[in-house]
Amino acid sequence: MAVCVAVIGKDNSPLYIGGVGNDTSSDNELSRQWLVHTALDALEERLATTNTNNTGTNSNAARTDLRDLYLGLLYSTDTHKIYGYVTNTRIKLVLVTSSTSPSGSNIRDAEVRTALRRLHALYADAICNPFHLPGDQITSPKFDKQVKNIMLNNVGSNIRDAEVRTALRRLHALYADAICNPFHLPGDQITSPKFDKQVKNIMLNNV
Amino acid sequence: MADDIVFELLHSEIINYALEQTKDNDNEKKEVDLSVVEYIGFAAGYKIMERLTREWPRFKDELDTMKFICTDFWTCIYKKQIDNLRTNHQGVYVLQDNAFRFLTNFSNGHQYLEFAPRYVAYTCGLIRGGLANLCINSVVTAEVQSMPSCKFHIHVQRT
Repeated sequence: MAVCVAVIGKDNSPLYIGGVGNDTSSDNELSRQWLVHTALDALEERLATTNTNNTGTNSNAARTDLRDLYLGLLYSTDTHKIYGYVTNTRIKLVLVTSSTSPSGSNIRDAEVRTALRRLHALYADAICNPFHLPGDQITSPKFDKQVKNIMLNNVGSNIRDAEVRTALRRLHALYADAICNPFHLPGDQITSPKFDKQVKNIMLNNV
Repeated sequence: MADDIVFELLHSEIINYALEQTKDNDNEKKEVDLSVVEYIGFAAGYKIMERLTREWPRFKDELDTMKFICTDFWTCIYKKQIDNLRTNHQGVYVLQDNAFRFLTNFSNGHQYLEFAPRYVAYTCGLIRGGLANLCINSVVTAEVQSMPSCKFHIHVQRT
């Protein structure tokens, strides 16, 4: 699961650093700041390669990839993995996951990307607050709560709501097919091996 | 359609309000002070930019950013694109709008020409704020020669 999320301003000053869980000593505020700041150099490096790319030595595919706001895994230590995202307005979003926890090792890239995109949306909402001055730290409790929600729900728990929904919808479709079998009497148990096989397929693949 | 009208009326009232304020402060000066209006535009531009660029790939360079201002940014606010973009490739950009929305309600002649600068101050701030959030510091001025058309000069400040 995500242990820490940070919003870093244009001039590398932290606007917001939030973390969940403080059961171990490595989760305190100071080590969070340290973790986030170790990634900033790697982040600047990625951005620099994006800029030099304009002169046009690399392939087109690589360039479009680098123009993506999501920068992927920046830095990994024994205990943590650090992912980065830089907006067009040079705001850096950093997400730190723990690689020691059982679920931490198999976080998918797409999940981190989704979490960071949602964080970006939350940030955009937060600075649209008319009382927020550009460059100020974000102190909004609402933002804090929503960010912690992202950290708890999305990254780490491997099954997403959307996946469960898809699986159940497909199960519904299979059920509808199964009872359309003319030999099936209403209220009977479904004994069709075909149905059984397809349901097991859903269970194995999807959820 | 209705929300456009609300924006236009609010904008003209803000200008009236700012003019009233400056009139109270000093009666001697003939000069109108629109820096407040410009700042309101700046704050709005700064904040709106974060949302507009959310789904946008990273900008390659300054010109790419200016094109964004001319197309998406302008469409979002004025429901049309900039008609002409010119640059000297040394940090000066001229954006020309042939039918600038805040001026289209006035007569096309010279009748209200002297009041036109009031109605472009907000937009200058808007552009400046948007660019400032994209890490481009600039000075934006506007020029109205014939009535509904308006030119915005952007001087990028390099340090």
